[in-house]
Amino acid sequence: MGARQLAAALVLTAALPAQAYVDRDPATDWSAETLHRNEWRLGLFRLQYGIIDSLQVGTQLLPWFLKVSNLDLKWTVWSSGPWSVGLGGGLFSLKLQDFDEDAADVRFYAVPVELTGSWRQDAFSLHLRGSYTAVKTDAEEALDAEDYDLGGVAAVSTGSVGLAAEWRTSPTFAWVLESRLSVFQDASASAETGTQVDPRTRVDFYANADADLSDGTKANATLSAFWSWDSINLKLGLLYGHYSVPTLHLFFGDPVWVPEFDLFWRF
Amino acid sequence: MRGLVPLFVGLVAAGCVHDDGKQAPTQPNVSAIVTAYAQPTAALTQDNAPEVVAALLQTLDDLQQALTVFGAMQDVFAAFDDSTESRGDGLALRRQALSAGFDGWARVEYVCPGLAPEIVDRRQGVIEAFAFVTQGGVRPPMWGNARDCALPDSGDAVRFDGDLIYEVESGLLSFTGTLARAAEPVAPFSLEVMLRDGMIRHRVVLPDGHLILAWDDDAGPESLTVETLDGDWTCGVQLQGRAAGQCSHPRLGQVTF
Repeated sequence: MGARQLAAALVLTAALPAQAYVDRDPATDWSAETLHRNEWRLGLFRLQYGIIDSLQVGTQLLPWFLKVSNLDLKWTVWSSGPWSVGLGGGLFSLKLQDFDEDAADVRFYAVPVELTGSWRQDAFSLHLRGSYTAVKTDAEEALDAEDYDLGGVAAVSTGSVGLAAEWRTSPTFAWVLESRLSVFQDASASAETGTQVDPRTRVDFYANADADLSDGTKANATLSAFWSWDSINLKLGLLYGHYSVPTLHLFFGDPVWVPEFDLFWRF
Repeated sequence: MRGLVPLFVGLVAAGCVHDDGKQAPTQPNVSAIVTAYAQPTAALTQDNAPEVVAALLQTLDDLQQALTVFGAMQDVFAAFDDSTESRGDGLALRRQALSAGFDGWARVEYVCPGLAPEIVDRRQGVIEAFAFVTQGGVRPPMWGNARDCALPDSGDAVRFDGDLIYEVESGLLSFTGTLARAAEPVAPFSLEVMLRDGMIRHRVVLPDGHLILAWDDDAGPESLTVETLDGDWTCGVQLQGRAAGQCSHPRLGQVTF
């Protein structure tokens, strides 16, 4: 499909009247739903598998190229009529010595957790999400030079809420509006340093620090066009607002425009 | 499916763990003692003068015994300042790490030398001292404890065991515990003095309050000031043989002993 045809398709699908187009394979990224049993999703950014109809396991692909191992689970905890509730969680891990074996023994862990409530009625659906992510750095011995050493831990925690709306205008096309608001993002750290002043005297320092990383209200919204054909799914979107690191939901900077893109297969 | 609940709970719990590092020690509050030194509550009278002089003699004796202990205390507490001021590149990083909005503390461990200063042997006891540290330096008081610490003292070893406090701003120095010199039996020992601007001050607790004995370290206790509820008394004390002397007050007259 050329760019001109794609643009034409976009205009045509957007111009169609809203009808009761029900997606038999509802999107799972912003909803409480999961892949079907034995269904795979393979895309540019994610690999996922439906273990049963209400439980999927997956991993994000880009982090692996950065030597960040990661695994996530999502479970549709409850579903009744148009309502459903999903709970997702993941674990990300990075070891600095994987990049440089001479580096200090520093590990990073991230645990994102998200609770989603969905309401779906015909071609329209609403999804309310609450997310909490904890990131922890654990340095057993970050520096050991001469008689001086340093170790400690640092942690970042973020909380955010999001609202997503999906409006399906044809069997294969939907508009998706996703917004996310930062509720809190805090950092804390504790460090230990030690010095052997002389053979008899050792001095150890311990420090704890806390910081509120929020600097005013941080939020963003993304409007996307979402095509879902038999197996191929394409999402083109444009985000405006404070950029947030995916998964971590750590907001920073000034409001910006950011294009978003995703392509994946479900089979 | 039920097995998933603990899994998710575990994930959430793992994310919620907040590692505060080592537990900060509890800093003693010496404000009441420092205030007591500023506000004596007892009067000097002819009746209690002998008790005050006896306290002075006891303090002088205790100070003689405690010189080694207090010297070691001050050396150990000085390690906080030494390590935050004079150390090189490593400390530069440390001071940056301890810069803004932090809650930090430091611990010094000193292995006592006993009678063999060339050997580091923990069996000679240790002094463990603590201080809270801020961007501006040590936040007093510093405190700690000695555990069966042996120090050389005139060819013998003095062993002490107990709690130490050093409030650097006021100069308050306190030791409460036990002390044994050479082969002498272990005996309870406590001493509290305030050392500042070359002056030695000691609180004497009497039945009706407390007063402060103060003297210049260079001039000696023969020229004594007694700080009381009524103001300062100026005293001349003869310490040779039986202690004797007199104190005068610009308004209340004289007291002899």
